Amino acid sequence: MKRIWLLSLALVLVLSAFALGQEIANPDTIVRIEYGTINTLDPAYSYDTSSGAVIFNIMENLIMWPAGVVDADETDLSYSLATADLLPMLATVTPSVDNGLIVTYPDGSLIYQFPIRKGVKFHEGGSLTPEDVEYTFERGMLQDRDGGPQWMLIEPLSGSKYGRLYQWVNDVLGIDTKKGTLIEDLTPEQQTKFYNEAIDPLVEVTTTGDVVFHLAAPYPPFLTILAHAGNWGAILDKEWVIEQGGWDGAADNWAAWYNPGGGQAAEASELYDVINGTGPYMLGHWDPGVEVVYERFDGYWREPAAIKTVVNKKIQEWSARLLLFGRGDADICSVDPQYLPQVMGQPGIVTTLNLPTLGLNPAGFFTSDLAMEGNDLVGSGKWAEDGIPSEFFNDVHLRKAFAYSFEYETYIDEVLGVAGGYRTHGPVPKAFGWAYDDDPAIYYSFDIEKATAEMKLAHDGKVWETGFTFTLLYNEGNQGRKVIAEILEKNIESMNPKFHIDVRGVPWASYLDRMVTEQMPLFVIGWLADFPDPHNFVIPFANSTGTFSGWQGKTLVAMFAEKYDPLISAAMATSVQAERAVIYKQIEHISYDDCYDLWLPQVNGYRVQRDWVQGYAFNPIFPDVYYYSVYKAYE
Amino acid sequence: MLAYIIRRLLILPVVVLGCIILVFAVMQLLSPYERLSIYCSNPAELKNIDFDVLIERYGLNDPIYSQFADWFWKVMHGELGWSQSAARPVMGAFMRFMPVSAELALWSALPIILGGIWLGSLSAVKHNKPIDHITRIFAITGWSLPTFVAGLLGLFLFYGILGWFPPGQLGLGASAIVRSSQFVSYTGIITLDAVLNWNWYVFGDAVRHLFLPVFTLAYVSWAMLLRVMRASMLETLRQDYVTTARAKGLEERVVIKKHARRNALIPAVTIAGVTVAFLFNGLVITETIFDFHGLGRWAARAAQTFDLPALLGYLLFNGVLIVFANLIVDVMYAYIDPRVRLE
Repeated sequence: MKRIWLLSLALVLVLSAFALGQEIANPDTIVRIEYGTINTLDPAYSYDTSSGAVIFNIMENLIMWPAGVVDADETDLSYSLATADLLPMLATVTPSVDNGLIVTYPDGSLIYQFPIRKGVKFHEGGSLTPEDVEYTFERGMLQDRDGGPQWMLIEPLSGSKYGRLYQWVNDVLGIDTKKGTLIEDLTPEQQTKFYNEAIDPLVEVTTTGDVVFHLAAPYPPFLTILAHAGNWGAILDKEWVIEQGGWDGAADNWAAWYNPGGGQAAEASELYDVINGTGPYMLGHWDPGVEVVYERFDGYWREPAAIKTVVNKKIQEWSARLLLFGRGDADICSVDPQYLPQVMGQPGIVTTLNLPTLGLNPAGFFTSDLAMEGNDLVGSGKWAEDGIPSEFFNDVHLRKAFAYSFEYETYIDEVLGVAGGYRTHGPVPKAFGWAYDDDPAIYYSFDIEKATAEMKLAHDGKVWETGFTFTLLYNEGNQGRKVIAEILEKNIESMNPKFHIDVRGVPWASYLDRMVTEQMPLFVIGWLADFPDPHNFVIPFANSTGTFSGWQGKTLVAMFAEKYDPLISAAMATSVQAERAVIYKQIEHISYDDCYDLWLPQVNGYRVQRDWVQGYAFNPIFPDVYYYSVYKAYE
Repeated sequence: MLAYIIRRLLILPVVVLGCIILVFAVMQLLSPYERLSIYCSNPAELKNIDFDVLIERYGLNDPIYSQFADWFWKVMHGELGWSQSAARPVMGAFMRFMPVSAELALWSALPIILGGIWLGSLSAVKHNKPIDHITRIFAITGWSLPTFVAGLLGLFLFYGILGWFPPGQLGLGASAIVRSSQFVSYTGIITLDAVLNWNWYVFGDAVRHLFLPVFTLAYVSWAMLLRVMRASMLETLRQDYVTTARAKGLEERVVIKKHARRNALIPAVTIAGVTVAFLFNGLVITETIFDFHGLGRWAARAAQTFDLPALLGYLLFNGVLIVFANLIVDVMYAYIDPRVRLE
């Protein structure tokens, strides 16, 4: 409470201290203050937004997304997430069926051909060649670190047969690498065989200097995976990587660079703290957890950037961020939704609300067939008022009763506050308008009567008769998840005095432990887009082996395998968007009927910047600010 | 004296080992999955992490003695491991964050100790006079204010309104100089490096940024030392030998400086030693509010995320620090109090 008073005091003080039309501070420098941790600069290793943001500004991909602009004077949302609108970047043309650069063969395999731009220089002096492109993707897939992003290339390039390199190695060599732990022991002959048979044919340089990707089967979002915003598609300078101690491109020794540091120590990658791209900014300086500085690259192949230096400071404490931003010593500031009222309407600060987002964060997941051993979240573990049995959430009526018990509108108004939000109804985010069925009939809404009716039907009336007790966990520090649990607790308990829900906060470590071991009756977590396609969401949410759906217990997993997996595969078997849209809409409808998740409201996107920051490019798939187009001026 | 110091230093490994074993024992209360959480802070990364492979790789299901032996063997070979919370090796994180905390500690120690001792003895000498009351009120308010309140108030007033003392270690211009090839970083302690580089612009900017955190620390830390010193001084001033000194006709200044204060210092030295040790091992709140990337912030984050390699490295440092701080205090006793002989 003391802190709130202090912050209010700060607000008043800051308000009174500054006036409109303040002189532009540091006109050739952008200072950004935020709080993410950059883990690595290796584009093949990085799989977090903060690291991706650095690579996004320093390195470039073959193709890029069209962006809108959000700045003091305009909000232009003419960005695109459509494959057809992708623009060339290090390629000179975006492949399409129409221009003949995407060709489908009678056996169902495809090629994507990219003519490579000439005269492009890397920051360290090398020139871009088609061989650099081939090397980049081969190096990435062969590195395939645990928990890394390479599944996005391995999956399409293997014809969706594999998600991890070791599975591919096992198949080609006919051995068991024990989930990759024995890959480092492969003989040079085995490595050569695998490389020559599996990896080398996937990305090739043609005699005309183009780069061709070979896909064994259609993978409609393939171009979106390669596009700028995904660091896994950022092009490296082969010679420079070799100079840093990286893989030399030989067929017989790649295993030495496989899964560096077991995927958990970023330093083990030779590119952990060095970076060399073709982008508008070079790395000036990186002090992990403290700051990263970009310097303009004057040899950039397009017009050099307007801003000379970008300083990205990591400041955890909100009050320090607020003061630096309020005084104009920072130009762009990360603001959590609850702090938005403190910056909105302040002189010299522009806040743009209601921007589209690409994620499902949060979403609630019901767990069927709960693990009971040592599980203190299920009370007595039996059908009784003091516990729940393992099969508690196996019943769809019970899941629906919970879905009807959540106050969606109240959550948007009271919790999401001034940022605002919108309802969702299935595993496809609303931003994919072409695949999203906005039919009001498939949204659950707060209705305690319907909830009661469903509760009475659940488990043939047993739930209503005996009552129950279980614990809903949230990870400490996540206020949103706490409120979600409390809303459910209040409304469920109001139905029947025999219904009891305990809400408890635990550290993230315990939360993760309970989630992975399938002990939590209902867990809340979120997913942000890797690439803008519904496939990137239906897999974690509705596939039998999905990241989250795979933890929802055997009954729900069996349901995913029977009903959802075939639909998900069918949506990937065609590149015709209209056909895919029909399938995704079908998935949304059956998701409503099966009610396997609690589809929670999503917060709207927003931007907060000083009024002299112009040219702030916007596309919801961007991991962060793209500084190339940013400049400082009053217009 | 030398034998005593050597004997005390020999205890060092035992103390450190005790701490480490304790942490290992406590960590066994967590499940292997919980201890893996540090590697899975991003939901997307959960996609293709095989938890069982990781548990086996890190030996998290091995017996505690085996895990301890493994860690100990690596430490003996100079490997402290990787700190996920700092996104760098433990030793690298330590080398980066230690000078920041040390700079804050060095600049804060002098005002805290000298100011506390001076104000405490002044308060005692002017017992129940206005200066005593003012000093006591000053001490009580400092003691009562949580660091984050004092820090935030200072920041709002002196930076938010007046713009004098910004948060962070350096401004944009000085940062650019420190990052440039002309500036040699000898110690990582910016003010010291600035002097060694003969760069007074950087020195001035660093001092400007240090002023508020140092003042905040001094203000909230003075109370303890001041009150102990005051009480001790009052006690000493009532001793017979002080009365005798006065009866001999010695000047009051000499009585206080030579006879009273020196004896009153003994309890204050203990407090000062502990205070300095605490300053050096990092100040979570001060470092967070004023955006100093020091040991305290790192350790707090490591603890929140169960970053075991970081915690063990921090513990090693802390054990050594506390043993040395106590040793220095003991040596100081011998210097201040002729009755104490270290043998």
